[in-house]
Amino acid sequence: MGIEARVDGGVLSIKISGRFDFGVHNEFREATKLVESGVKLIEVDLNGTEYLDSSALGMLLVLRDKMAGDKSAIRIKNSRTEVKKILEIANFDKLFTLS
Amino acid sequence: MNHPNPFPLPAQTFVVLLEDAGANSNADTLQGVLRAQDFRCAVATTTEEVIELLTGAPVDLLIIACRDWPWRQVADIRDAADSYLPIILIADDLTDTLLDHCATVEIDAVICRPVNQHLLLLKIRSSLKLRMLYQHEHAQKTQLLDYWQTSDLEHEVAAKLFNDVLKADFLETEAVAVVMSPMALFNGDLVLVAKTPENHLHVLLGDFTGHGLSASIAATPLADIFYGMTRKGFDINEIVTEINAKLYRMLPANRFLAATVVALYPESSSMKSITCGLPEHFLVNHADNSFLAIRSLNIPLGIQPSIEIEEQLHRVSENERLYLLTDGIFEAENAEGELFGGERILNAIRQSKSEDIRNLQASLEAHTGGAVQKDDNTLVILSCAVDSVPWGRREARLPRQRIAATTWKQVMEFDIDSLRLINPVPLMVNTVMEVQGLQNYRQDIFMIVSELFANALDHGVLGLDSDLKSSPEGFMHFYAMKDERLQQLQRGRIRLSFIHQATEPGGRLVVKVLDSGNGFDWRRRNSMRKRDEAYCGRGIIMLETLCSSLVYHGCGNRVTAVFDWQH
Repeated sequence: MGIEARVDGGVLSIKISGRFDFGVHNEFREATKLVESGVKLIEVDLNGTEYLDSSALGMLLVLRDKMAGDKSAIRIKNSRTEVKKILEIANFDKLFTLS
Repeated sequence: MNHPNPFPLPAQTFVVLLEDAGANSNADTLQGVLRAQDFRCAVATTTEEVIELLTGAPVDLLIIACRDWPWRQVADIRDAADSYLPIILIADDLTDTLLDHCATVEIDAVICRPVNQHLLLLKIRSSLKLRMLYQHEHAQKTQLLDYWQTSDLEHEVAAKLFNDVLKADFLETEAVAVVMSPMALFNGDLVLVAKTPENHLHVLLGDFTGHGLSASIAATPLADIFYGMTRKGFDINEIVTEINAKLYRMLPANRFLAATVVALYPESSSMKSITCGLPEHFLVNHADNSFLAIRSLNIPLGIQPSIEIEEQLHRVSENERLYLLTDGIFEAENAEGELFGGERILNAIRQSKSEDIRNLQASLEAHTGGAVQKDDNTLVILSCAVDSVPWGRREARLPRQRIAATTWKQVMEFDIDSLRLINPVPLMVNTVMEVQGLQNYRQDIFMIVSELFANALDHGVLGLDSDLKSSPEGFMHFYAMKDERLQQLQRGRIRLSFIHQATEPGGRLVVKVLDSGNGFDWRRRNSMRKRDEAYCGRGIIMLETLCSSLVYHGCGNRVTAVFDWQH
């Protein structure tokens, strides 16, 4: 449960397990700080994410803000059906690279 | 107060000793021990004296050292204390009866004679610690209660402010039914309804990210934009663009507004929706029970500095109802954590047109087992009964400051590149309002200018045939062609002239429109009209009703409309 984040060769990998909502915002903020260590690409792995709410979407937007709004700089991958649906409703494919 | 207070010094600690009356070496010894440690100390010989000391000043600790201790009065003593009063009992024998009494009145510690000084000091210390923890907890509780009361008060004030702002311009109409759970506003839900001077109905359903008061703080400027621009006759694309830009400037990166804005155009039996991040909406035809799910095509508002709006157009009839819901209803969980979902919503609302709300609420309650929800459910039902236009009532004529009719003229010409980008009608009408103060006639003037301009653009400059719009497929085709021709056309222009002068009863506004198109056979239309009323477009009939005269000239690419108003 929670957030795992590490930087490897300019790539920041963030894995979110369990519920991705306001409950993890402190952990996510810590992970977001890692962007400042010269990260070129962010991979957000939602394989273990069971649920995602609008405050999670807000956290992803902060990440995007840190990457100066560059769509190709953030990849969101391995979303489950329910999670993918929420990302689709928000049309986040226009803001992030979804795979 | 995030950390406990430091332990108070003995000199700040007040200890009361309850001892038997008369010379007693024991009391002296105990007093001596306490004084040696710097404690402030007082001796009492009766319960009444103890109570008197307690009412006089805060007492930190009571040591009972009398042979025949008044255990039945311990409750009275504690009642007189300002806060929790720890009690240490010094006894000769630890009999079962004594320990039972100690348990009954909750004595904190018992020491057996002869008193070991070190043990006594240890017990004093732990008793004082208990009192301190109690005081600390009590202070925190009081503080929390204060916060609560302040926050309740602020919520009350905010609720009133929001209601005033959001309800002031809210158009109450039978065409729109709104069901909002009581706290939904404070969870960031909002519903706005207004109509344009042309009787287009605008509805906005929004859901700000986050919960609590901060979620809805941007509702006020948003409502101002929505109501202000709708009143001036701007279309929803322009309104959404403006709201998005405003929210982008206002909100932090992690906050946004998921929203849908709908415009209902009665004159063309059509509806436009701009969907930005809310779950799907349902357009249900209650005559044949068919439905259309309208999905979100745009990102929520306030994320990007500007957005490319993808809109959706729908033909509607009186059988259709549009159901807009926020995610609270979709995500209502049952005992097994299963979401309510779109399918259950559809099943409920399609059962019956008249009972749609009740069926949905019953189904939702059955699903959740009546459990308390997160309380952010908002439902809007828009009745598309376009022919009866239930919201199309005239606004009450407000008493305004009278402005004398004056003589003036204004001409503006728009080339194809500006026609591609802007709708000049609201701007032009607002100018007329500014110059002549004709607010009471805003709706009539807006409809005249808007209709004349639309005819000049669609049928004049773009050469589109209005017959196309008569079938549902043709209707979509018409708008697709309009878009295409607007983008491709290299030449084209429209000139609008406004000439105003005073008359005996008030004033006369003459609107002339000239377009670069090929015109139309207005002479034929005039003769046709005598035979077949239905042949003419609704628009021209409306123009003829509103205007004192409506005259086409030349090949039909010039028209003069005369509008007379009275003081």
